[in-house]
Amino acid sequence: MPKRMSLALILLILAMILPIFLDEFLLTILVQMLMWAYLAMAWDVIGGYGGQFSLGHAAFMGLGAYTSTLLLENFGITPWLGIWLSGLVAAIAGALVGFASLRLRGPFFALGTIAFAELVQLLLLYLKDVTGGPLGIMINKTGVEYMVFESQLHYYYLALAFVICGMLFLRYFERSKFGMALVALREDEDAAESIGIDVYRAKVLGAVISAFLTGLGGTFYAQWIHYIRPDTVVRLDFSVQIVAIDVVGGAGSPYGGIIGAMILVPLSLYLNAIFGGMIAGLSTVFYGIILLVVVVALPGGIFGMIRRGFLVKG
Amino acid sequence: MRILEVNDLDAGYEDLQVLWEVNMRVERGEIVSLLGSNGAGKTTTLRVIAGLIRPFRGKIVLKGREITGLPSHQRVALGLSLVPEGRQLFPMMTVMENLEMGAYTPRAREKLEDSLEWVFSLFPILRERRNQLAGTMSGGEQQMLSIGRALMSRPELLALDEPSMGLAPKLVIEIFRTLERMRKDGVTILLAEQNVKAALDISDRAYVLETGRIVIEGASSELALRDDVRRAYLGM
Repeated sequence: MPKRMSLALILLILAMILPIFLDEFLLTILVQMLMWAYLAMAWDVIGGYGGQFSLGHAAFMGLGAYTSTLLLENFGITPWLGIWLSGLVAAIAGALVGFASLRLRGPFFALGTIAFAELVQLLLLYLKDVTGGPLGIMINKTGVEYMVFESQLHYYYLALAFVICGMLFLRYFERSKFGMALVALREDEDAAESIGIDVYRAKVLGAVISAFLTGLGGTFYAQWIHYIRPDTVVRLDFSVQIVAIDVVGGAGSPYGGIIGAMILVPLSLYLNAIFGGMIAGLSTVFYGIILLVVVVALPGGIFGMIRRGFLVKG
Repeated sequence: MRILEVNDLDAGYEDLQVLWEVNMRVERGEIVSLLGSNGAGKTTTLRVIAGLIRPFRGKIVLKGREITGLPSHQRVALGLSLVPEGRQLFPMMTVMENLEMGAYTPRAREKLEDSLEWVFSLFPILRERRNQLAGTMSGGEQQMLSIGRALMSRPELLALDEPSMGLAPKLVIEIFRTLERMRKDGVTILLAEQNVKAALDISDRAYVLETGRIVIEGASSELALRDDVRRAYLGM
């Protein structure tokens, strides 16, 4: 155990110091990597541990992004506070989708979340007096007090904090009674019911927690990109990207998100740089193929492979 | 005292009716067998009793309280547990984690340590295997874990769906002996079995299901002597 602690410490120190020597361009890539890693971890609560595949997490991200940004631009409320309301709004949305689609087994939650994301996008477009409609909203404020930084390095540290908190949360969560209940129902719903787990309630609560965490990530996204629009935030390829990263890295583990993001984010940025303008929707196809390959050839993702390695030895 | 009563139960899956007017009762402290060949409706009966499917018609009463509409997890809290067919463990959890999950209800959680000792005394092999992944154990050990996990919820009535399935005869005897010990510890047992001989040996009374209807009922010792039962189920 101390060996693993010291490894974690070394990695942390490296993660703290190395970026100081990187230029802004490389830092933007790292920031995106960390952000997507965090979002994948948030998805992991219901998608990985709970086994309930959401394909609409961009909706929770978008609701989070819009909540704190509207509070900031209309009322001058700092995102340091607004972010918690973002989480809350996303959590309520998560509860609604969960209530509606988690009672049934099968693909209904996945379908429900896709439909819900479409609905959120339409609502954001339609309520243009509040949201600015298709024109979106710009974040004009600057300064640390408004969570708007001059340097990518500062975003990097904030994103790192998100990832570390996410990881610590998942580590705690997976050992908690509730986390174990979600895993139990993922493995067998009847068996979970048979030992006294209220499966429906557990799934809804899992969706709420996952949506809450994703909402927080939405605020970070808005603060980092400074400009949000319904079709650039609440989009299917974001939802798919979150799933792909987590599944490739290893769903149902605290480390899947970060491993997946370290591989897929640079890769997709690279592919976009080459093919970007030429083929629309390329990244979605790319993620789709990667997902298929991993699900078939590498169940448990990369972290799953590492974990199996440990188990065979131990 | 009556622990379970099943009245005029019709049940099945959507358009397919499997059970017809099933009536059963289980007294506290008994071991009751539910016998029948494959497809007779044993599993459906237990799933309705455990609340995993809703009956079309009829009534289920547990400890004098009607539970027909109650979801499964609430029945566990009331002291009714099911050991499902084919074991249905959580294969990626360790033996210990499976057992701890069994004590999920608050009432069971309070007695966690005590229950663990009890289960380990019934199935000593589980103590040795406690850190092993459930999915990597032998069939017999998995069946023991499945029963152990159900016991962790401190049931007053334990329903078992074919615990002998796929096990060597020696293991079947071992598990059935443990059922008798559990009864001595105060657990009432409802046992669905295809292994008619073994089930009649340990049970007090038995019901025989044929194509969804109860066709024979009575004391196990008498059933074991009846010509029709011996011909149809004991191969004599």
